[in-house]
Amino acid sequence: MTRPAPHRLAAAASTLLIVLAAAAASLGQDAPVVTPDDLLGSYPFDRITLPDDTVILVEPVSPRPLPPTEPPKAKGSSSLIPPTRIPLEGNVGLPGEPSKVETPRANARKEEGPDVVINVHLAREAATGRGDARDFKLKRAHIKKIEYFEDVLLAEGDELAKARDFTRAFEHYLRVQQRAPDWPGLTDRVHALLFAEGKQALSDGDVARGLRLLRELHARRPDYPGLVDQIAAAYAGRIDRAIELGLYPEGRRLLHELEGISADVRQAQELRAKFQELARARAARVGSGTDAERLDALVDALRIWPDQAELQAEYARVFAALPTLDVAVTDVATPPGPWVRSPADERVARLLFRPILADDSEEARKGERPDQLAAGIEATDLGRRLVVKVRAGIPWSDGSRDVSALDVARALIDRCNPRDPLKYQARWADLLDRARPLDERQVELQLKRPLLRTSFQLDAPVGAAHAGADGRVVLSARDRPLVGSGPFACFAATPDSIDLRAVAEASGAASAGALRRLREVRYDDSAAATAAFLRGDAALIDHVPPFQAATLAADPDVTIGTYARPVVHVLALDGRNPLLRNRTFRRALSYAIDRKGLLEESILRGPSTAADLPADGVFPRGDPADAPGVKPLEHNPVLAVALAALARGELKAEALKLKLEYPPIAEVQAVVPRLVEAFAMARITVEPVAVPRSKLESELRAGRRFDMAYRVLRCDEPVLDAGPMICPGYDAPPSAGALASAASPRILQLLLRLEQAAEWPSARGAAVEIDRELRDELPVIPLWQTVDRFAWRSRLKGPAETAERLYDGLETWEIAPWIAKDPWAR
Amino acid sequence: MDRQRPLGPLIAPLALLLFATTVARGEEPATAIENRPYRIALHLASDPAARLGDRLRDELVARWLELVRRFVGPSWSIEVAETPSPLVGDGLARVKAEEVRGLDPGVDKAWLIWATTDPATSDLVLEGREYDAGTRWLGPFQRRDVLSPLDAPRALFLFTLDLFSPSALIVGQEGGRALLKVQGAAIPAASDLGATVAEGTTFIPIRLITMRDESIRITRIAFTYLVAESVEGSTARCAIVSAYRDPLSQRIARPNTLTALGIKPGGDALRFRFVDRTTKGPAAGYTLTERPAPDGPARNVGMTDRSGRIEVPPGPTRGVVKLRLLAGDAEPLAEFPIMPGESGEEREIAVDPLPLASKYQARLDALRDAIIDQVALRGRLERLMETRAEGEDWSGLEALLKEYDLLPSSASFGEALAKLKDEALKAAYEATRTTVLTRNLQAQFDEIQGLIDGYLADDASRAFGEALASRKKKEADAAARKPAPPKPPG
Repeated sequence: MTRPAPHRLAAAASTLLIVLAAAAASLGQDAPVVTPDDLLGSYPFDRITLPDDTVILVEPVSPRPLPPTEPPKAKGSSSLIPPTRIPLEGNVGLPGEPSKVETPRANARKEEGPDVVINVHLAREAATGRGDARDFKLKRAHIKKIEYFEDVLLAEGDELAKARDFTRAFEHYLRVQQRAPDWPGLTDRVHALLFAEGKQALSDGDVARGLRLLRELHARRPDYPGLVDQIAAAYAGRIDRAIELGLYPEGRRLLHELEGISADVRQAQELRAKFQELARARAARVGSGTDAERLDALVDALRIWPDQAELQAEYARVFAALPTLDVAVTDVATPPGPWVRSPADERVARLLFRPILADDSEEARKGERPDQLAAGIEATDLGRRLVVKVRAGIPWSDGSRDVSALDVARALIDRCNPRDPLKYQARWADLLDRARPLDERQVELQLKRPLLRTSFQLDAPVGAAHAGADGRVVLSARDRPLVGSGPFACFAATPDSIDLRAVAEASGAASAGALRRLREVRYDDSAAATAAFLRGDAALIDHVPPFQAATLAADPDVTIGTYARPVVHVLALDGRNPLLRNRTFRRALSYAIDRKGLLEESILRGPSTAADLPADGVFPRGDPADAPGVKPLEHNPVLAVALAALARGELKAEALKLKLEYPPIAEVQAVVPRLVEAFAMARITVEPVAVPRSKLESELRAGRRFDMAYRVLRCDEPVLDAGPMICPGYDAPPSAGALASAASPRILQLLLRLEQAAEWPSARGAAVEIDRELRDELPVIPLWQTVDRFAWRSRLKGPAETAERLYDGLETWEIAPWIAKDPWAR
Repeated sequence: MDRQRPLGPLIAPLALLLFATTVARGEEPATAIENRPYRIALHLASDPAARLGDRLRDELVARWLELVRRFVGPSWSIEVAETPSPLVGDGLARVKAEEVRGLDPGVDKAWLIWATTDPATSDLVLEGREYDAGTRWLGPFQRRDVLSPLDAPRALFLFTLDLFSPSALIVGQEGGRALLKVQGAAIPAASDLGATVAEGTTFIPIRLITMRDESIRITRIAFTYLVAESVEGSTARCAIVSAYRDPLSQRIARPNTLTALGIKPGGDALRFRFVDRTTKGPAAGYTLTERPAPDGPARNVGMTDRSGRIEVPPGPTRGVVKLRLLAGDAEPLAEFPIMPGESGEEREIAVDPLPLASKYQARLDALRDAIIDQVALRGRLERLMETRAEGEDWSGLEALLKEYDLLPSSASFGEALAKLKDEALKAAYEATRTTVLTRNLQAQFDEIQGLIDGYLADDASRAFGEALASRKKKEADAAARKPAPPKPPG
C-alpha cells in the first residue's frame, strides 16, 4: 500500500523527462537554446541544464534562489516513504476522535517541496506534440545545473564592465537590483563597477565624473580597497589645477570635500599647507611696498586662503589707511581722458576732471559749487556772449600749476577740431564762434546763438592745456600720467580695469572710512560681474539685470539702488546701408518684433509694469517730449513677412542680411537670440555680434558704419539728447558722414531744426514732433523701456537708493574691510 | 517786346576776336571756322622728382608729336613752348583763369601740363589743364597715371586728348536742339580717335556780350550743357541739357553772340554748399541724388552736412549728370545738370527748404504706409475667404468676414486724406514765404487717392458676403420646404 505512490511519481517524472527531452530536442531543431541577445529587453528566464546536457529556458522559477536539494539517501533506505510511526498509546482512536493513523500520502506531499521538485514553465512553446502545454514538474535531482536570470545578468554585466562598457554594465546590474535587491553578489559588483568606472573617468580626464562616482562608492563603502588613495590623488590633481588657474575658492571647496572624505589623507594635508604657503608668499610680494600694493597683496593672499588671522589683522590695518572700493562693471573707459564717448567715460569723467559748470542750478552759475571750475558766468548780448570766470587754486594732478582760463579755452576749442575725433562735438563746433582767454582767470565765448541749457555744453571734462591730445604728459618713456583736476587721479588704466586714487587735497578732511581708492574691474559679461559681486570681490555693481533684481534684493547683505531715469532699449539703424534706408524694410523689422512678449519673457521674466513697458519712441513714457496719443508699435508677423518681401523686390535684393551688434549686458544677451529668431520668421537674416559696450558706443558716436546696433539709452533732457539717441554719430566729425546714418532724412531735418531752436517752448514742440513722427519714420526701432538698477554690499555705506549717476555723493561714501569667507567656515 | 535778333549780325564780336588772332598769325581772315586748325601751345614742365631731364623730355615730346600726327592729323597745330608757363606746377589745380598771362596771343589753346610722381606709388603722373584763349576759359583739372616710362608718349597723347576741348559757334536752334559749327571739324582727321567732334561730345555755352565801351564780356550760361547727338559735316546737332527753360535765349539787351566750348569730366570732386534762400543759413541734412542726363537711373550721392556742404566725387557716369536735392526722400528742392569733375571750386546754391511741404509729405507717407498695410491684410483675408468659399466652409467664411469688417473702412482713409489736403490748402493760403502744395505733393495726394480707390474697394468682401447670404437663404428655403412632421394622433 505504500508502493503505488512512488510508482506514480516515478512514472510522472520519467514522462516529464521524456517530454522535456522532446521539447528540448524540438527547440534545438527549431532554434538553438541560447541566451537572448538583449538581456535588458528580454522577458526574464532561467536556464536549466538537464542531466543529458540539454539546456532549457524556463520562466523564472520560484523561490529564488532555490533551496538546496535534499542529500541523497543511502541505498538501503531508498524508499521515499518514511516508516509509519505508531504512537505509544496506539493509533486506534476512540469514537468521535479523529484518526491517529499517519498516512503515507501526507508525507508524499511534503516530498514535493522545492528542494525536491519544482514547477517550471517553458519560456517558449515547444513542439512537444502535447498541444500548448508548457507547465511541467521537474525533480531537482534531474537538474544538473540551474542558472538564474539574475546570475545571467550579473555575468553579462561583468563581461561589459571588462569591456569598459560601464553604462550597459550598470544597466544590467540595475535590472538585477530591480528584480532582487538582495541578490547575492550584486552589491560587490556595483562597488567594483563604480570603482572601475570612476578610475576610468579619471584617467580619461573627466575628473568631475570620476570623482562623483568614487564619492558615491565612498558613501556606500568607505573602506573599499584603494578607494581613498584614488580619490585623494584625483582631488589633488583638481586642486592643483585650480591653483594654477587662480580659482582659489574652487580649490578650497575641493579641498574641503577631500577633507570631508578623509582629513588624515596625506594629500589633503599637503594641499592645505600649499594654500597657506601660497597666501603667505603672495602677502609678502608687495612690490615697492606702497599701501596700495600691500593692500592688493593682502587681498589676494586672503582670497587664496581667508582663514589666516595674522593676514586678516594686517589687511584691516592697511585697508584703514587706504579704503578701497572695487566696482564690478562690464566696460571700463579705454583709454580714460578728457572726453565722454561712452557710458564708462560718463561714469569716471566727473571723478577725474572738473567740468566748467556742474549743473544748471543758480548755485552753479554763481560759482558756489566746489566741484566745478567756474567761479561765475556772465551772459550778455542775449546769451550769445558768455564770460566764464575760472576759480583760482584748483591744481592739476601733476602738480605743475593751477587750472587757468587757457585750459578752459583750449578745451572748448579742441571740441571744435574735426581732426580730433576723441573730443570733437559737431553741435558745439556749429555753435561756437570764438573762444579766447581774456586774462588768467576769464574766458570769453562768442556763440552763434544762445545756449538752451548752459550746463549742457559746459559740463564736459576740461583737460590740461599743457597735456597732449590724450590728456597725458610725458614724464619718461613709460610714465605718461593723465592730468586731471577732479577729486580722483588716474593711477592706472588697462582694458580690464581702471584704478583711481583720491588726490590729497580732496580727501584731506575726509572721515576714516572715506574712499581713497576706487577701482573699476571689467568682467566679460553681466553674469561674470554679478558672480564677482556675489562672491564679494566687488562691493558695488553698476548694473543689475531686471530679472536678477529680485534675487539680489533677497540677499540681506545687498541693497538695490535705482537710477533716476529709466533706460530705453532701441535698435539703431545705419541709413548709409541702402537696405535700412528703405522705409518698407524698416517697417518690416518693426512689425516682426513682439515687444511685450519679449520684454516679459526675456528681459523681466515676469509681467510688465508701469515702469517696465514696451516703447513707442526713444523718449521714456511720461517725459515732456513723449508725444501723447501715439499708437503703440504693433507686432504683426503677417505684415512683417509681406513688407520684407516687398522691400526685397524694391531693392532687387536676393536676400535680406544684416549684422546686429550688441553689448554683452545680461538682458540684452538674453533677448538678442529671440530678436534674431523673430527676424528670421520674417525671412530677414540677422547675424548677432557681441561687442564690448564702451567700444560699441564710442565707435558708433565716432560715426563708424554699422547695420543694426542694440543700444541702451538714458535720456537726461530730450531736447538736448534727441540727436545722439536717434542718430549715434550725430556729433561725429563731418568726414565720417555720420549724418547720413540717420535712416530717415525727415527726422534728421527735424533734429537739425531742433538744434537751432533758441528758446524752450519751440524746442519742446520740435521734440514732441520728432517723437510723433518717429513712430512712422522709424529711424530707430524702439523696443522697450526698463528701470535701471545698481547694487552694493552692506560693507559700503553712502550710496543713495535713487541716483542720477552711479557715483553721486561719492565723497561721503565709506567702506569697511571685508574678505569673503568660505560658506563652511562661517 | 521780342528781342530776338538774327544770329548773323551777332557773330561780329566773335569775328573780331577771331580776326585778332588770325591777323596775328598772318592768315587770311576769310578762312571759315570749320576749316581752321587749332593752334595749340604745349607748356610741359616737370617735377624734379619725376626725373624727366631735357633729353628725356625732348624725346617724349618728339614721340608724342609723332602720335599726334598719326592719329589726329592737321587739325592740331602744335607749338611746344621752350619756356613753360610759370603757372605749371604743384598748384595748377588752384589756378584761376584770370591768372593766366603771358601766353602767345596767336594760339587758340594752351595746354599746361605738369609731370610729377604719385607719392603713394612713385609712378609718373601727368596733371594738366587747358586754357582756351578765345573764351579765356580754364578747363577742368585732369590727371592720368603713366604706368611705365616706356609708355609715357602714349599716355601723354591720351592725356592731351582728355585736355582737348573743341571750340564752336552756336549758329542756331532747331527742334529744341542747338546747332554748333565746330572749329576744325571740316579738316579730315587722321583717325577716328582724332575727330574734333563726335557723338556725345559735350559743350558748355558761353555768351559773348559787347558792352557799351566795346569791350566783350564773356559769361558762361550756368547749369547748361550741349550734348552732341549727331554730327553732319562740320555741324553738330546738340541736345540742350539745362536747369533753365530757355538758356540760349536771345532776349538780351546788348549785342551778343553764343559760342560753345567742349568740356570733359575731370578728376576733381564737385563741391557745393546749399543755403536756405530766406535765412541764408545752411541747408543741412538734405539728400543729394545723381542721375545721368537726361533721365538715367538715380543714385544716392549723400547728405549735406551741418554747413550745407557736400562733395560729389566723380561717379560712374562720365557725362553730364543731373543732381537733385531732396527734402525727406521725395520733395525736390533743386535740380540742375552738371559735369562731374568740371571744377573743384565750391559753389553756393540757394534753395527753398519747403518745411511745410516736407511736413505734409511725411504725413502722406504715414498714410500711405497705413493703406499699404490694409491692402496686405485685406488681400490675405480675401485669399482665405476664397479658399473657404471654394471648400464650402461657410462658418469659416463667416468668421473671416467678421474679421474683415473689423478692419478700417476705405472711407476712413479717404476722409483722412481729404482732411490732410484741406489742411495743406489752408497752410498754402496762409504761408507767404514758402510753397506748400508743390507739384510733387499734389501728385502724391493724387497717387494716394488712387491707392484708396484702386486697392481698398470692398467688392471682394461684398461678393463673399452675398455668397454667404445666398447660401443661408437656400438653407432656410430647404428647411421650409421640408414636410412638417405628421401630427400626433388625437
